[in-house]
Amino acid sequence: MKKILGTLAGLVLLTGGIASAQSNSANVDASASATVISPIAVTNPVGLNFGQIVAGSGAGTVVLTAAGVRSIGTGTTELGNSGSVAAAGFSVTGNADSTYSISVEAGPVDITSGSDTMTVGSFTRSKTTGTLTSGADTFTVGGTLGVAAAQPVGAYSGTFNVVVTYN
Amino acid sequence: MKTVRQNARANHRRASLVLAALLGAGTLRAALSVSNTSSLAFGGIIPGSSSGQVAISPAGGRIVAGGCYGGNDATSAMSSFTVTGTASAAYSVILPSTETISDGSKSMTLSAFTTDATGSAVLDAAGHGAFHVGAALQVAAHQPTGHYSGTFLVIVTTD
Repeated sequence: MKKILGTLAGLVLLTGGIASAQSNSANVDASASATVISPIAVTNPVGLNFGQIVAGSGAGTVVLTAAGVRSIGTGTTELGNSGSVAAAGFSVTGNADSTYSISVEAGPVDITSGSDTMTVGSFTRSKTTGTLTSGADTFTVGGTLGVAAAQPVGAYSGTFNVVVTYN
Repeated sequence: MKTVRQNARANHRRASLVLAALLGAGTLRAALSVSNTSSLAFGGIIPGSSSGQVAISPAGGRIVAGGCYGGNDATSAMSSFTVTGTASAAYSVILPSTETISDGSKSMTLSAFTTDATGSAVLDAAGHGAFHVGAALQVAAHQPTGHYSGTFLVIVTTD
């Protein structure tokens, strides 16, 4: 009788061992990662400046390229002193070697001198995307100034929006 | 006494047969294994002045919420796994509740792990299966820049 019990006990132990080997479970350590980068920032150290303009008897436009070259677009407007002419200059800082996109509002926006206004629109960019080599980059923006017939004299100023975004 | 001994011998034979059958059944079941074939990646993240979350779904979609901003999305991806085991076996995936990824002494917390291996996940006729895992990353206000990495434990079980 003892022998029978011994055999049965052995059987139970053995089947118990097999059962645990069969309890099918497997695991793996999976990897996860994220990169936190510094925020992108843009400043405007140089304003868009059309220089001196002489209003004509009719309306006209003055075009200033992103490279800073000024010319008469249409109409009877004439160009005055070009000493202060400049495309708008922008400085961008952020994560080294990241690329970013540049967008400029469509415009036109008003620039004013007291109650007198002119418009600036058709903005052009020196590039549409850039790379923050060593964490910094620059770009320029030009535009087109709309001058009315007999536009009142004055120093006109205003703002336009430029947005930079990480790609 | 003689009768008892005979019974014992008979039982012993029967036991050996049962044991053989159990061992045979055991070898028919393929060992279950799981491997991680691609990493969970949250891509580039820009911290804000308040905390936020970046979540990756098991399908790979990225959702940025709260005070942080999404940077480069090209490198974000869900985590992929393959499973091998017994043909047609149903399996379950067990995920951690939270985990930490770090860069030196800096860290971020992963939570809300999700998988597309639902309650009905089954290995195919060849004993192969695949599933994906996503999670949510907590990004603190002004989270320091860095390349954060870490691991999370994924357990697969079959009945």
